[in-house]
Amino acid sequence: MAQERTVTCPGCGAAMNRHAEKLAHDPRGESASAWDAALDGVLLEFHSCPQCGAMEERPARD
Amino acid sequence: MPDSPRPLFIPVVIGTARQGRASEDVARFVMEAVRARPGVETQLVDVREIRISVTDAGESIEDAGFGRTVLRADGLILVVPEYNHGYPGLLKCLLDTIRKEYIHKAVGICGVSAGPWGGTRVIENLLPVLRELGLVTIFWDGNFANVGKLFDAKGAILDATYERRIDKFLKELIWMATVLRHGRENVPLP
Repeated sequence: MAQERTVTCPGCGAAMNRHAEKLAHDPRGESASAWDAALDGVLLEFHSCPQCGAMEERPARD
Repeated sequence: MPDSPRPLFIPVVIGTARQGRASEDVARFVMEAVRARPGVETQLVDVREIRISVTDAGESIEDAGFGRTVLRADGLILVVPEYNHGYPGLLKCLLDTIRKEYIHKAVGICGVSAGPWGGTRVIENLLPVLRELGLVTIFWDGNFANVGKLFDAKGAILDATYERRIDKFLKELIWMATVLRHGRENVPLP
């Protein structure tokens, strides 16, 4: 499912920076629905907040 | 010197729970060296104090306190004894419980051994694990050799050369943690 690229920090409301992707072969919970057959796993993306340093993880947009 | 108003946070993890562990003296020595650095905060993380199941893995057994500590961290220092050339299983179980908290953060390893090699073999064995977790390893290590003779009864280090060695290790780790924080928070993935 397509997702918005910009993630808002749940802690302080700042726009987070998407800085990493990682392939998970053992998806957890709801991420399993984002299984990518071509990559043989779930592509996750990671966002960090420039204001408070919080991190967020979610299935990648593409 | 960190360029952010937030101090860097670099916890020190004691990677063994065994009775009589010499790694505790090493961890306290390293932690005091971190505390002496301006703009850097630290905390001791003791695997002995964290209760996790060894019959499961991942977030289902995640310790919330450990997760919060690593989430806040900009880097980690792992103090790891070499047991038959390997790392303690309990440390591996703990490391495997979280994921996002590690991504693009710096890590340095202090190997501890009863013999003369200072944990070089456990460091080499641990590097691919840390890479897979998403951590970024530095190229300085701490090598605490002959650890049974390295500290006095009060835990004070007896070999002054370790002060200079850990200084080099921390300089590299702090540089890497500073750069990676900037990257995490400001440099988007292309």
